[in-house]
Amino acid sequence: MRHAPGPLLIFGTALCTLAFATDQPLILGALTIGVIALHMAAIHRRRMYLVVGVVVGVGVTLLNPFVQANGDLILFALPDIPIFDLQVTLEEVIAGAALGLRSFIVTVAIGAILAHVDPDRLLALTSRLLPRSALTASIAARMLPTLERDALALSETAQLRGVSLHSGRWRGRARTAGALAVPLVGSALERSLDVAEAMAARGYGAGPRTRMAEVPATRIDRLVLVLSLPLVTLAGLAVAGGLDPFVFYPTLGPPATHTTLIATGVALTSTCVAAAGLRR
Amino acid sequence: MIVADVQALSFWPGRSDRPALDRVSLQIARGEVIVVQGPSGGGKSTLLRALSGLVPHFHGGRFAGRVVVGGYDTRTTEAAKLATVVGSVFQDPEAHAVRSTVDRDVAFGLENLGVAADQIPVRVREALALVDAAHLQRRAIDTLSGGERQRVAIAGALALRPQLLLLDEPTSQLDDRGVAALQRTIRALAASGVAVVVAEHHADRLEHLADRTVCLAAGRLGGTEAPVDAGVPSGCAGHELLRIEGLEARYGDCAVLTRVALTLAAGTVTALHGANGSGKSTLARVIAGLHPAHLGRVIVDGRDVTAEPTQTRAAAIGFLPQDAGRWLLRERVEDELAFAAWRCADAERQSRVDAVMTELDLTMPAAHPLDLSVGERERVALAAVLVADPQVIVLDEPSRGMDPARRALLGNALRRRSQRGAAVLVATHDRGFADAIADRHVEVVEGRILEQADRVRQ
Repeated sequence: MRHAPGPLLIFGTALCTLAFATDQPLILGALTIGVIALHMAAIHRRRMYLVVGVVVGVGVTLLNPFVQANGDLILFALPDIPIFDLQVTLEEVIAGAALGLRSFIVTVAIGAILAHVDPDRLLALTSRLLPRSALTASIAARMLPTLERDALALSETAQLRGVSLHSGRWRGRARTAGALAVPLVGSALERSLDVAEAMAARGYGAGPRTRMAEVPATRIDRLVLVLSLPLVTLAGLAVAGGLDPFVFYPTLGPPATHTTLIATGVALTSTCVAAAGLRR
Repeated sequence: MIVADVQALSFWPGRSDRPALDRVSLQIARGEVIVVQGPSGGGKSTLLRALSGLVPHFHGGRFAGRVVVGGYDTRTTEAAKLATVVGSVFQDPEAHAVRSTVDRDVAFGLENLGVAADQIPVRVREALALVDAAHLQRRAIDTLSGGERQRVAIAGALALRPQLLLLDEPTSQLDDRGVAALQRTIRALAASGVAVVVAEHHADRLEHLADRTVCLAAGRLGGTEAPVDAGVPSGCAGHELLRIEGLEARYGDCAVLTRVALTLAAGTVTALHGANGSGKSTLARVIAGLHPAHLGRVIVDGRDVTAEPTQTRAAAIGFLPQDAGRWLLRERVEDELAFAAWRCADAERQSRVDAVMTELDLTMPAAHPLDLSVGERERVALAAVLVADPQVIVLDEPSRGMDPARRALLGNALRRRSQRGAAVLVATHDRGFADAIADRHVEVVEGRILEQADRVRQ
């Protein structure tokens, strides 16, 4: 069953804001566990977001030590090359991992929230925010799900032409999959245009709308809304600087304080309880 | 009383120098049924979009002339506003579903037009009943077959109770029951004063309902359809190329196919019939390896391929899914076909590409697939299957969106493959096309295959 978009969007926004606003590895770790639980709780899991999250997260983690020139504890040093810093420190690696986790959390959270949200009610919500532009509403509400379906259809076409996407060396597989990116974006945009055209032809933006009766808020919707509150509070505190910041450079900061441990527990509990509720 | 008045309408899409519509004039009276015929790319869909106001408001381009529908000048009235008087069903209903369940999708237009909330479910039920789709009301759009989606799209337009109903290829995926329901609905609508304009390649299905039939070719009214090519004789039945034994396929807990047995011989063309949602597409997907066989075996030329992935079967089995024109992988038509024939040596590949393009009347080797019409894209996708020259060819609704001349080309292309020893299986609702090309007819009924009387082509 898919759920009302309002509570889930508040929950997801708070989660992502917290991930962006805090440097604390413990809190980021808790959020990582939480978003994986949210992902696993979905009936229609969006594996693409998990894959993209891992790729981006690992990429950022690996890249950071070579674009930063900070930290005291040198792990190893490579020969000098202009622009790049090839002296890798423990602090750079930990800071990179924190950045990578942040990217992973946000990517997987978006996929997980979209997997739990009722797409029709999301479109209805978008319609209230964008009552005139069918194209904008269509792209906002349908682009990502469309992208996912189109990716499947294009990979099927490639297989029907005898192209294997799942065997061979990873470099070859990546190249094959990369070649599908251009038609994928083209077809997803075209499909969004088609939907926008259908929306216009069926009167979208003609004037005041009515709504067919929808199911009332469920216990799960209310649970997600309640669990959003601690996340919103934590995100607000993190943005305002009220959570203990973590120092990466020149040496790694002190061990976790009581405040950090409490915040970690709250983040972990909120996300995991929400996942358990959504799984039912 | 005139519902729509088109005066000297010309339209050039994008920055094109060639008009899609060229000085078209047409008056449509209340209760009148007009069938628009003409070759693919002749301007039928563009004319319908002009009547709904999507041309020029949604599709950029140069517009000349005047279109007045229900008293609204389409140039000065937004398409959304015109939805109060015009209902549209597009050629490609799969791509135009707005919502994820049938009742919500049909309700979408009613919500936009501000129909009272308590009236919406009533109107939704009425509209679905008109197209014999009341049983689909609670279904998810993703789970519908192509024909069922087409019915839902038509219901979405009917729910608005328009003065002018525009139907673009509305029967292309409908089974006989769906066509009969649509015919009844069109008759009833016309009797109640609704004007209906239908762009349709299958003249036999709706032409007898028409008060007028007009032909639109190269953007001009009064053109003529290209002559239909004489048929190529089919091949001689040879050894068994495809055998399906005890096949069962499921979607979740629901068995779609049960104990299906079917054999295809080299040199034959077999038509696969069946009602919308009967399992034709699922059977084709199982053969191609895109859907798992729960039980049973698929054997190609003596080799059990049941456990093989799609890409391994692809050398022997060419499969054209429904709506395949949407899933083209390259940026030029010629590159798409060359990619599909990647197993061939360079010289042979180019000659095969040239031959199949000529065979299917594809005259735009450098065009980007997104710049082609729906019918042209379908032909490119079809050419991509044929160019690989597989032993077994499985096509799902291949004649959809094709004019009679192109259908004849397709039929000839398939029979040439059967003459060369291929086994061809065509899932289709197009009875005329099936009768013209098939040596044998089988039907999927409640998940099982029934043999129809063998028909030897004359």
